[in-house]
Amino acid sequence: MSATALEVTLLLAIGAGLVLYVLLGGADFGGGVWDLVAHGRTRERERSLISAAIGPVWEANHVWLIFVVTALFAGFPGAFAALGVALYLPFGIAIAGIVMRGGAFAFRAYGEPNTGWQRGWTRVFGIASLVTPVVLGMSAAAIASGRIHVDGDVVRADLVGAWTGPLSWVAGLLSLVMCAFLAATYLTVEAVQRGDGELEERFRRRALGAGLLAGALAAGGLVVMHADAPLLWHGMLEDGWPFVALSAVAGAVALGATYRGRERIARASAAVAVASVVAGWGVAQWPYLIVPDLTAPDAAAPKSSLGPIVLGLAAGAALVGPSLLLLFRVFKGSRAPASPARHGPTPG
Amino acid sequence: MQMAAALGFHIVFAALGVGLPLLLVFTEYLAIRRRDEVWMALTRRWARALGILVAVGAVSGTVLSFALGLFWPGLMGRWGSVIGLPFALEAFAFFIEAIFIGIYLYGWDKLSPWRHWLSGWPVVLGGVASAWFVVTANSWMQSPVGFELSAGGKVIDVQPIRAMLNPSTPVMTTHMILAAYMATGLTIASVYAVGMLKGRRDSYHRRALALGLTIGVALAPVQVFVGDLAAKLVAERQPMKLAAMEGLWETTASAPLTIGGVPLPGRQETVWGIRIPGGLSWLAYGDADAVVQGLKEVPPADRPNTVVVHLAFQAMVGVGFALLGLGIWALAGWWRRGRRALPDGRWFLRAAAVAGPAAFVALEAGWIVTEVGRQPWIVYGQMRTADAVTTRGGIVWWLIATVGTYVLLGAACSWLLLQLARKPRAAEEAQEEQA
Repeated sequence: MSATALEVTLLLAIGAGLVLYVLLGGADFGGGVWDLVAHGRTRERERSLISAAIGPVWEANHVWLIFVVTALFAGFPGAFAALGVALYLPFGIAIAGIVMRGGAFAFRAYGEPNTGWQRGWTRVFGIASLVTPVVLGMSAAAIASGRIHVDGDVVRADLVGAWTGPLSWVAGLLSLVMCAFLAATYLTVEAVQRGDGELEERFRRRALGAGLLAGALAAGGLVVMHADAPLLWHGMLEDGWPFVALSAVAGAVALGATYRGRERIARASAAVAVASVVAGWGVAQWPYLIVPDLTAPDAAAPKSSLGPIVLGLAAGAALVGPSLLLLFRVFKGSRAPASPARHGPTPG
Repeated sequence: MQMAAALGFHIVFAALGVGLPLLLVFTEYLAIRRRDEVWMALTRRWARALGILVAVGAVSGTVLSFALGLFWPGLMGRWGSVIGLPFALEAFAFFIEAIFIGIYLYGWDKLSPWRHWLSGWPVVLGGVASAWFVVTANSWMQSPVGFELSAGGKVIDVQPIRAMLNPSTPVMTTHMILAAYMATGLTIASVYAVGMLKGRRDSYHRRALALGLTIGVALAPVQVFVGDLAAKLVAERQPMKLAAMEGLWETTASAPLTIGGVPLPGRQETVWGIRIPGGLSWLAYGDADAVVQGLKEVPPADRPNTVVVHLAFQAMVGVGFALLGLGIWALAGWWRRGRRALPDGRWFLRAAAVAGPAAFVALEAGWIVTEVGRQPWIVYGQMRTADAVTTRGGIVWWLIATVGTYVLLGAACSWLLLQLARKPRAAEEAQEEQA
């Protein structure tokens, strides 16, 4: 049974949501990682830059994940139910990470500065930001590497083994490093806008390091994929390779631009490089939602459900699109912030 | 149980997250229009509280969206195509809320005052819309429609829009959204009533108390009316839930309304209640002689836990009428003072201080009535809870972990809000100057 136009449309929407979650929400996790490793004389300035960058947008960025989850559940309930059973443990850890990350960020931002309270939640924020992308990356590899078997209503997957194969470890690390890479390129731009040359230099070097590491991991990942996830590998050879190429080129441009101090070009091409990794993965996996037993048509809701869902998504996108543009124009516009002396989030 | 803990927690933050923005656009309007420092100070402070509450509400809501798959794969796998639509749409409503909350909370000095005020409106509407969508899904679990079952028991002919607009939707969504506004208003009233009891009787406290209390008690009569509609709907569609709510064991013509009382499942009777003859029949069916089904109509395995449901229902209704009484008290006092000020005697303030927590007791109790009253079904008449729950083991550990996390988050959040409430206004202004 081949996929219908409605199914493809909905999957593309979910895929787009996932890419945006990685680019936006992922960078927020990356910001948390840099927050965790901030040290030395510039520590407080770094943290203040990170908080100011994440503060206004993280909740909106986070909704991309809710969108992906609910759209998957509405459009492909079979896959949603099977994933819930198979990835019970890693999803649980990821949820805990997401909850602690969000809670800790708010508690830190609204608490009294320079107290044990704030230091404690800062630590929680950083650790949760580190663990969550790793576990989500590992789960993605579990879905692609054929360790989850679906037979009718019965799902068979090892509670731990399913998401701790070789590809899972590479994907988990890659996911973490990509988040850090994105965050470093975005934060370089923020530092330039704030006119803080020292931080700019620091995040520039971090972007270079994380970018090189991400490239190496992605290349190594292909080798592991060949051995550990043959179906995905074949998909890559057949359909995914243009994205691999695009990712490599964009990654190289991002590194070059970072090195040459063209931070805006670096930010855009880093985003393209990371988006291509996710998109290539998705295309290579087609038509499977869960390799090797569940394809998109197997898991899809009936046509009478998909129609209203797709219509609803179109209407929703028409509302959300302009709102998001407004959000980013207000806070991430090219105009410099009101005064460079303002530090930290100033909620309320 | 895990889901129950998660939902019970989320409902508190969600209610405040839905309710508070409406108060904010009101106070900010007055602040800008009248160039009024006091209203502005209230707006600023409540916005900080909203920032904390929405963050916790957002992450606890995420837990729920995952938890549906983690704990109820049976429910989702079978019924996902029927009730998926409102969840997908809810994501968009929440998107709007989250985007504009960012603009609202961080945009004070990036937008002109009126534009900033405008950015609060999508937060209000997004909050109401997300509450509406989510509650439609719960309504559907009470009144499942919009699908057919094939001869082999498969779900066919799915009509998600009909499922979303099921018979329980209008009443349940209204009941919930009103409850959110009431709980928010009364929470605000509580906080400032405590402040006034401690002697801070300035116009800042008086206005906040008046606004919160007005919203809370003005909606109380409307809520009682909607609640009555909800009970009639339950009588029509879920007779066993009604029987459990009322602790009614025997099917009776001209059934009495039981106020208070404790159902004893062992003896299959309800003791110590005040009975109003024919009251239940009249309330449920508009006819004092109507026959109301009792719990004994169905085997024990098909009965909800009447002890829990009856007590929760009594608590909710009790709080509802107490709030009505508080409203009359406030109105009478206001009238006696030449319609200029609310009463501010110590007993009135104490009553107002209790009203906030009481409203949340009612909110949770109402949720217990609707969920526990539906048992043993998860989808009324269609799927039992036991068939929907995950086959994975270790649920107990999840429960412990979830409750532990929520206790931590709840405690941290309360502590922070308390700090916020206690901080003298001068200190806050100083901090804002520095920032």
